[in-house]
Amino acid sequence: MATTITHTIQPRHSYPEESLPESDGKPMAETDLHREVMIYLLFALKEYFRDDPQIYVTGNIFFYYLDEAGERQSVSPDVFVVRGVEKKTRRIYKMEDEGKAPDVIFELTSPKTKMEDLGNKKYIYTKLGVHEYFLFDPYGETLQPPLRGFRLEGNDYAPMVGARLSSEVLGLDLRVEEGKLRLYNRKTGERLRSAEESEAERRTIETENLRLREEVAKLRKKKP
Amino acid sequence: MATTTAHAIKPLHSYPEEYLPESDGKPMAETDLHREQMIYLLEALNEYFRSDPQVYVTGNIFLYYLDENGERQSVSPDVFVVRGVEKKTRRIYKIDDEGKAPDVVFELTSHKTKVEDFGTKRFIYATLGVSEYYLFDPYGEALQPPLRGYRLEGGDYVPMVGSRLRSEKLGIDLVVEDRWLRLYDRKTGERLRTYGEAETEILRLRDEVAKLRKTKP
Repeated sequence: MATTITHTIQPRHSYPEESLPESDGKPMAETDLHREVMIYLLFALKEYFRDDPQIYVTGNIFFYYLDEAGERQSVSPDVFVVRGVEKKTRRIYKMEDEGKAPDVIFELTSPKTKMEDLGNKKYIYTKLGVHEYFLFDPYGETLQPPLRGFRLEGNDYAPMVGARLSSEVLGLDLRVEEGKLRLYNRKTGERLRSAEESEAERRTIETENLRLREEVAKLRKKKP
Repeated sequence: MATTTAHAIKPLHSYPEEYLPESDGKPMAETDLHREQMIYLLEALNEYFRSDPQVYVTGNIFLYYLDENGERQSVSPDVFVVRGVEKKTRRIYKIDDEGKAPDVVFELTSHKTKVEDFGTKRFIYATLGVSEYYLFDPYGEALQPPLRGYRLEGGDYVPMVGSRLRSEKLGIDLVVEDRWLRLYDRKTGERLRTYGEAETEILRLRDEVAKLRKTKP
């Protein structure tokens, strides 16, 4: 999804510390499917960690870090999760200020971003110590199979194997169902629902609630 | 939010028809607030039009059109709504194929995008015949007041007045509440919910259902 052309990441100009950009001023455009997958991941992960005040789930914001030469660099992962930092709304995420790199990163890949996602970004995430790195191609055109996962072992990524990838950091399984990336709670075995499913559930229970209220009201009238 | 530099839009190179890009291959990055606001608009509008198969709600995809010289051009609105076209997942939106321009466009603005949003984009949307155009600045830094609305009248945009803006096309009111742009269904007077609120509501309703079951005489 979010992409970065090689030269904008690797040698990269250093940013003046007083004004780190929050927006790159570039058009941002993807397909409906890319956007929907990203929104699913954000919603599902936020709900999953709803009660934990020390988990930050975000995406498409500027993530700033200092490289080995101490130069200011930035990268913009599609979705990332950081455990152990405050859950709050941020304008940018600056690694030295927060004291932690992301634990898990998801990139939604496409022909335009594949090289970057498997190249520079993978390298940068390794260096930063991101434990798990997942790539998903919503159209299944550039990645076969469409879902890939890597786990940091030593100081390099080892590819995960199997049709059902799991995130040890998140306690979740990742599966592709009917072309969609879905997350499963490993403890309960339940699939994390999407925003639409959550709204559908709300409507169902609201109907049930109204029915019961009417029933109770009727019974109360009859009784005395 | 999504921005387009003047030169990237106006003269713009023509695209070969056999290959219209779906992604611009550029980094996309905004703040949490911009992203959350955009997701609210998409979710609220999708939910509001849930049972209407002829309304398409989308955002951040490439909108392709032919300019006055018949040249292929593109723009990427943050959020837009088209009435009268099929509700389905698209990779791009091509006006000449769909036969309709968006009815309503929302841009989430910032210092970086303000000139573009009031300049080139406003001009393009007016030319395309977009009936209503809304701009909102989540941080209230680039726009004072943070919400602006325009209605197309005779080929140009006329600013809407008041703090509660009325979308005739959507049947919705737009209000800024606690720095959030929120939408109200004009028929019911109710605010369109976020999906996060739906989850909270589920817990409350479940609780109530359990109590009701117990109190059933």
